[in-house]
Amino acid sequence: MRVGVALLVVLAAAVLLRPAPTGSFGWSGLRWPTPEATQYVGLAPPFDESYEGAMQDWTDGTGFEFSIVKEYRDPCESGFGNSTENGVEFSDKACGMEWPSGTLAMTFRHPSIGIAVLTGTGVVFNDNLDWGFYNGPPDPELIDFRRVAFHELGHVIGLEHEGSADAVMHPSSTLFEVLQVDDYAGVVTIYPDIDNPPPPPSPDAKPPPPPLDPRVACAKQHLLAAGKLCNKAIKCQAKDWIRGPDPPALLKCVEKAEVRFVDVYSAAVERAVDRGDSCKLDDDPGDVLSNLDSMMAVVVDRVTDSGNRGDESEAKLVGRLLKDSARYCGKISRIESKDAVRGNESVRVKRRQKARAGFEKKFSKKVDKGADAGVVYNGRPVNEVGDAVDTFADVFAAQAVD
Amino acid sequence: MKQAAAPSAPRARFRGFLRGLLVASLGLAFLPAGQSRAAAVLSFSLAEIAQQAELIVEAEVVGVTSRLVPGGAMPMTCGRFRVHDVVKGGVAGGELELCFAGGVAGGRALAVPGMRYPYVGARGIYFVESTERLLANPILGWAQGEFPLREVADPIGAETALRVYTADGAPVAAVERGGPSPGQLSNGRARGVVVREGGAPSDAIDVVEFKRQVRALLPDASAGSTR
Repeated sequence: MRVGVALLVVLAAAVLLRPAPTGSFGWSGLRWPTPEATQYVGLAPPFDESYEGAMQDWTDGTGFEFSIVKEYRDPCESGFGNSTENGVEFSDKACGMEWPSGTLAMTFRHPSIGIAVLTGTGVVFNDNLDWGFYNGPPDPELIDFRRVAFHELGHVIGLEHEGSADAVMHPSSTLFEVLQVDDYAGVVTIYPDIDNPPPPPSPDAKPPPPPLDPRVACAKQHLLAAGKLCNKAIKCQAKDWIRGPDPPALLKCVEKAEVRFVDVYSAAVERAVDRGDSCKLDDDPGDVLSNLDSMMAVVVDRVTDSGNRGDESEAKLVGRLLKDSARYCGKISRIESKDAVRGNESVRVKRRQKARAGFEKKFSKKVDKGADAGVVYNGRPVNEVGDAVDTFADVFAAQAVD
Repeated sequence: MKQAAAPSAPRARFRGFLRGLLVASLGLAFLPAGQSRAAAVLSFSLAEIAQQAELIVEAEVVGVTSRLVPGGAMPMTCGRFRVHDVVKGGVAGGELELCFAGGVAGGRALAVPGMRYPYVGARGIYFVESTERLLANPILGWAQGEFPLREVADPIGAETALRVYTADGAPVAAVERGGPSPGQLSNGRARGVVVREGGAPSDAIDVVEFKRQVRALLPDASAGSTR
C-alpha cells in the first residue's frame, strides 16, 4: 500500500508540475505506470491490420508505445489477476452484459485497486452491427471500424472524451480520422515521462486510406502482375523484331517476365492465405500464365501477321508497333487494377476509352509515317490489334475480380 | 437538496481531477458522476429516445451497491431509484434497480469511459431502455437519456423549483423532436434538446413543463403509472 501511495504521489506531482497543457483534453486520472502498453490483437483480417495501424498512429503521433502481439486475449479478463494483457474482440455481448442500443464499442479499463494505475484494458466492438472501412461522412448502414478503433485506443491510453476541441477523443469523433493537436497534448501531458515526444500533429494531416479487402488486394496485385507481364513479354517480341531474330535472347527475355509474374502472383496468394482468406484466382500460376501467354500470342500475331522480317525497315516498324501494343496492354491492366479497388465503373470506362484512343492514334501515326517513307505495314488493322489487347485485360480482369 | 450552479469547465475539470485522485486512492479511479459524454454511441433524437424507452421516470437514487455480473466476473454498479413520477411505462412498488457496467466487486475494479454511475442523492429524469435485460448501460443513449434535476431558487421570489439540465450541466430550455442525423455519433446530448449555453440556473425549464413536453413526443401521449 505504501508503494501504491508513493506512486500516486509521484504521478500526481508529475502531472501537477508538468508544463501547462496546450489542449483541453479529458483525463480521469488513470494512466499506465510507464508510457507503454502491450496489445494482443487476434481480430480477423482486415480488422487486425486496421487496429494495428490505429495503434501505430498513436505511437508515431504521441510517443506512447504500443507493442503488438498477434494473438487473441479475452478483453473481459484483461488486467485481472496477474494479467497485464490488453485484449480486443468483436462480441455480441459487452463482457457478460447486453449491448445498449446505438452502442458501437466499449473500452473496459481495469485500475489497480488503491492507486490510479491501469493494469489492463479490453476493447469490445459490437458484433451485432455492420462494420466496414471508408473515409468521409458516416454511412448509417456501415460503421467505419478504423475511426472507432482509433477513438477507443485513446481510452486505452487513458484519455477521456473531449467535447470542446477538435479531437479523436471528441465523442462525435465521426469526422476525425487523424490525430489532432488536443489528443497529442493530452498524451504528452499525462505521460511527461515520454522520451523525445514527436512534434505535434499537423492540422492538415490526411487520413490513411481504408485497407483493402483481401480479395480486392489480390485482384489488384494479380492485374498489376498481368499488366507487367504483357508489357515486358510483348516488348521482348518487339526487341526481337527490331534487332533481328535471336531465339535464345527472346526466350531468356520472356522467361524473365514470366518468372516475375509468377513471383508477384504467388506472393499475393500467399498473403491472402496467411490472412485466412483466399484470392478469387488461386489456381496454379502456371495454368494462369499459360492462358495469358495464349492471349498475348494473339496480340503479337495480329501485329506481325504477314510481316516480312527480311525487310529491315518493315521489321523495325513492326517492332515499334509491338512496343506500342505492349505499353497499351500494361496501361489498361493498371486501369483494371485500380478499378478492382475503387469499383467506379464510369471512371473505368472513361479511362479505358482514353487509353484506347491514345493507343490507336500512336499506332496509326507510325503506320502512316512508315507508308510515307515507303514502308508497308502488312499486319492487321489497328482496331483488331486493340481488340486483342483489350481481350487480354478484360478476360483476366473478369477472372480475377468478383 | 440544493446544488450549486454548474461550475465553469476548467474548474470542473480540475475539481474532477482532484476528486479522481481521491477516489482512486480509496479504491477506484472513476468519478461518482463520471464524464457526462457517452462512449462510442450513436446520436439519438429526443423523440427517438422517448419512443424507444420502455420507461421514463423522475427518480432519485437512494442506494448504490456493487456486485459481479450474474454468471460472470465483471463488476457492475447498481443504483436503487425511488420513483417520484412515471412519464411512460410502469414501476412496481415505486422503486427500481438499474445496473451499470463497472465498479469494484469481488476484488476487481472496472472503469468504463463515458459511464455515468448513480450516486445517492442524484435526482433526474431517466429514459430507461429496459428494466428486464441486463444492459451495460440501461439509460437509452447513455448521457442522452439522462436529465439531472436541481432545485433552484426563483430569482424573484423565495420559491424554489426543480429544473432540468443536460447530463453535461447545460440548462435545458425546451424540448423538440430533433431532426435526423443518420450515422453520427453522440456528443452527449440528444438532438432536439434546446439548451441555454452559459445561462443562469433559473433559465432551465421546470421539471413539470419538461415532462409535459416529453409526453407530447410520445405517440399516444399516454401518461405512465406508478403501481
